[in-house]
Amino acid sequence: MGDIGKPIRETERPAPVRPATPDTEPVKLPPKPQPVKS
Amino acid sequence: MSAEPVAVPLVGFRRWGARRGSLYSGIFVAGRFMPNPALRLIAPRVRPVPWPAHEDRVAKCFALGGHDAPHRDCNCGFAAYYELPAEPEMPAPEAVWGVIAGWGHIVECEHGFRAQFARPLALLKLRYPDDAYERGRRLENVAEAYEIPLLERDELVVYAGWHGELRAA
Repeated sequence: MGDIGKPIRETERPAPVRPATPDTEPVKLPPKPQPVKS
Repeated sequence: MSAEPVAVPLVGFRRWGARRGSLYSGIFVAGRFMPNPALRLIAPRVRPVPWPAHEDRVAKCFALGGHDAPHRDCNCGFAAYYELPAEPEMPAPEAVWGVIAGWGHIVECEHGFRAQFARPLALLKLRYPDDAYERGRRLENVAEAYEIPLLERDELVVYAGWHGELRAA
């Protein structure tokens, strides 16, 4: 890196937000209820 | 000087040396890349460590006496320019330009900044004219390893602005 010049100010900044990545299995829908035979 | 709290990360442009799919800080001398020269001065047997691909990197200072990085009166911390140069220098086939997000404690200077934490966000699609060793795949290999996009200049600047404060010099 070359010259970035003289310090102007100092700051305290938060981390960027990482893109959300699923870390668990996708939620499965419950089985469709079957019609009850009478 | 006390650090002023700011609500967003700072983004900036910098150059690395790319080897075997990894990004290294370092300098270019006579067409050759030298990774982490400060580290080599104090510990010649220590192998240079690349920027981690899937975790955030915290800055260290190798100055005698040591201090937390970045320090106002030192050159330590992860450095980047506020603006991408009009014609980014490509002194060797290993040269790679890209954009980083910087956060934590930051020393903001006239033309760029030095940050406590940094993460590469994207790489500039700019190739050295002759990269016989990796047959033109150097940029793609790094982008794939770090899971970051490889973008044309205009796209890179817009992409940078999505991830934090993009300052003009």
